[in-house]
Amino acid sequence: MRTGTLPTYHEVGELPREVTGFIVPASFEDENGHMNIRHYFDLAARAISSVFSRVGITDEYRATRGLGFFTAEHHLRYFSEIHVGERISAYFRVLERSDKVVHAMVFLVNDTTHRLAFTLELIAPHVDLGRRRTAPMPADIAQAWDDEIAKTEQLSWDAPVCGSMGIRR
Amino acid sequence: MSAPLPTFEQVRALPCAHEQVVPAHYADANGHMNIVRYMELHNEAAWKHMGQFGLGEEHAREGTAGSFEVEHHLRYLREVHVGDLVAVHFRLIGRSDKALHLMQFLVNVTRRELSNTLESLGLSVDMSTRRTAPFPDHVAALIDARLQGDQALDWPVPLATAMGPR
Repeated sequence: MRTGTLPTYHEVGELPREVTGFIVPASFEDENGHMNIRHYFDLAARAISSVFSRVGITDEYRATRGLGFFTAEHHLRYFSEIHVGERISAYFRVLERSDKVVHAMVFLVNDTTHRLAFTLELIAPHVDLGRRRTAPMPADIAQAWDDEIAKTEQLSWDAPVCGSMGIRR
Repeated sequence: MSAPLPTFEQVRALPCAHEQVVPAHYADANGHMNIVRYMELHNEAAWKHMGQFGLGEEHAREGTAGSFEVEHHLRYLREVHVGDLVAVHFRLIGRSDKALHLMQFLVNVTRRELSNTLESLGLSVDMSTRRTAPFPDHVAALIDARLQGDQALDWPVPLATAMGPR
């Protein structure tokens, strides 16, 4: 079931912030007169990249251990238009992990209008880059994800997940 | 659970909205096409095929009709590599007076496989008020003409969520 209630702008602000106050340039506008949808995606991807680097998924990790993360699924919801000149921040919430898969969510908020603009829910399998197949994550990476999950344990709101994504155990 | 995925040939029989070869700068540190490029390709394709229904760039610019996306679901099924020829095909699923539900299929023509699907829900917008409004009659007629054929196809749409017009 989809969770009906969306977090407020201030509730989202309780999460780790991965992109801070990005000002939307004129080049991001499309023929609809607002920020094009692919830039919502790009800003969320920037947040994902920030978290994955912090957790230890770096060029060095990929090169020395031959492991990394792929993406299996994304669910995107667009809640409000974003316009040129507005300030956007991105926050990240890790929902759960198994030995091979991370389930998480990115939130884009509009700091100019104080509105939730967009959510991106993701399923990311850990992979062996040589075999191109899923593989269990090493203990240090698993611990780093657990540390991220611990950051959200005090939250009073549920993540507005789409309901059809999750980790099969 | 979702319906089975269509075959490469079934998807190729749908209208194609965009086709290109994957250039080297689309690759990422994992050695394959980066996820942001899937969305870019879908976005490029969407602007093209929505124009057929009176919902393209020129229509938005003229203010005659517009459509805003509200929900997307993407499934990444196969890796795509530099040099592969990829194509985006699309199939309409259904509509209400204000909402259009469709799926775009990104196929790898070089490897003859379905790489990715994008399920999309868009709302008709009155570009003067920027609020949802029923599709103009000429747009609704164009959508319905296409829907008739797409709904008669002999393979199910591989829906992944409860998304749809309400």
